[in-house]
Amino acid sequence: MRIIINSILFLVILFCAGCLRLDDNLYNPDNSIDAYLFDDYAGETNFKTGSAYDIPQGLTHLITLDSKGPQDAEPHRIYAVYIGDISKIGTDTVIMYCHGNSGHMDAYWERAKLLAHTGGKNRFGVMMVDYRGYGLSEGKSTEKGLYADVDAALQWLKEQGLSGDRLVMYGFSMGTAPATEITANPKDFSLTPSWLILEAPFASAAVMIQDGSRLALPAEYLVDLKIDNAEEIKKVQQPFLWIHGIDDNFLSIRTHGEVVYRNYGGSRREAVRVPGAGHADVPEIMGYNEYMGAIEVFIRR
Amino acid sequence: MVTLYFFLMKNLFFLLLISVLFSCTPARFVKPLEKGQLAIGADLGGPLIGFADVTIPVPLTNLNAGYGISEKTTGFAGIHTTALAFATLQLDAGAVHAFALPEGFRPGISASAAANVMVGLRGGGARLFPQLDINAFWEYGQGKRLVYLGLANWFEPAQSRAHGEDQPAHWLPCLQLGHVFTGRNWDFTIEFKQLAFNQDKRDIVVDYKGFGNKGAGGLYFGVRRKF
Repeated sequence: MRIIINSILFLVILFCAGCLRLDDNLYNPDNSIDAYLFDDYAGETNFKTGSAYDIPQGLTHLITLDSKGPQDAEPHRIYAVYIGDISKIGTDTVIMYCHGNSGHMDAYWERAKLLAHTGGKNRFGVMMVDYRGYGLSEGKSTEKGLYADVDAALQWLKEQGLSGDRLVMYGFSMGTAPATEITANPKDFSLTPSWLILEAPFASAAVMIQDGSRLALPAEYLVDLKIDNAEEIKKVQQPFLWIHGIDDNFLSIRTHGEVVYRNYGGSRREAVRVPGAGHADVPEIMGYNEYMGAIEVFIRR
Repeated sequence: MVTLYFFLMKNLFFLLLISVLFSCTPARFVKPLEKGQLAIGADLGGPLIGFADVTIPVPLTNLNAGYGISEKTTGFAGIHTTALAFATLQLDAGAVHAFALPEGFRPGISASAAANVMVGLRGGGARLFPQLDINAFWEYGQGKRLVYLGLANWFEPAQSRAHGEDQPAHWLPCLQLGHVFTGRNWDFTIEFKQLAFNQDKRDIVVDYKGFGNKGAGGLYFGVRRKF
């Protein structure tokens, strides 16, 4: 009898095998807000730039988009913000900013503002989107959803007159996944970016797992995520700027950033390794002016 | 603010991420079973990590069994149930042999060799990690309770890892100190490990807790029914 019970228990365990995967744990959204506050946001951010970097009234545009990827039966209503003069998108250079995995757009507002002021006050247009499940955006975060949501923003920019030759893709942390994917595979998306900037990129889920375990374990043991910046970057031919804090204790510059940089497949790459900076404070440690200057020089060169 | 912001990401993602990745268990059988004796047990515990301002062991679980092949040698095998829940079949099997039994203050000495096999049920193929342990153990009291101190060693035979990079670690040693409360039919084990004490933990995703900048502490509990 006992053997039978044990056998049943074992079969139940086997039957349940694979019920759990870690993919969803990549996303750490905050969808508890009722409204975006932008310059008035007083919650957690990685750094505060101060009022000198505030965006003038009339240049912050909250936008809703319908995001529908190939895997979606129905579109998701998501939120985005455009910083700049919408009527000038047809002539301006625009930075598509793909934020990281935590919170919502307010938490990345300070970063977006720095990009907007790069090269002069509101010199560049900046587009930022809250992926599905983040902030006020509907739905549940998924890997393909990230790509679809950023593409929905690109589609909107395209409708406003943006062309790929004036599009800069910028990804931070988790946002380096859609930024790299779209730049590497532009035919699958609405616009072909002309520059790629990655701040604190991760190489792949496999590297995360292997760093944590110290064993050369395959990512498939735990996740179904296909995100693989270290491989996708090989397809990128556009100019590439990589920025990484040398003291990043979350996504190691050595095991993540350097691998992505080394694997870049194009002919023009630049690296900014920031002494003393960790994962989330590169602009602050580097100095806002120096940070913005590096980006401006990269885009203008 | 920076700390809190990414603290959340680190722990929510990697609390479980690491759960099958350093699946050391407490020492299976420090003192061999009697010849012909069968034991079935379960273990709970893992590396210590920071979670919500407290330090906790990752709740790894496994079921295991052992059989006394001779008076000095016990064969054992286990299935790692937490890993299985994440679609990774992890099995270990091996044998422990006592080279000396304890006598007074002189410790008994045992060593075990085991193979840890992992198979990704959703892809990723199979991996094998050899393991060699050596323990010194002392018995005390009428119930012959056991205290042991030893070194467990995991070996990573792969020469390269993701994206063709060199695999940096091939030897993952763990110091272990444990105590077995021995009953007539039941044994209860508590064990502390210092995992991978030769590995720098500062620039990785997991917020391991332990002594200094190397490795992680680990806390394990085990229960075993003897037949």
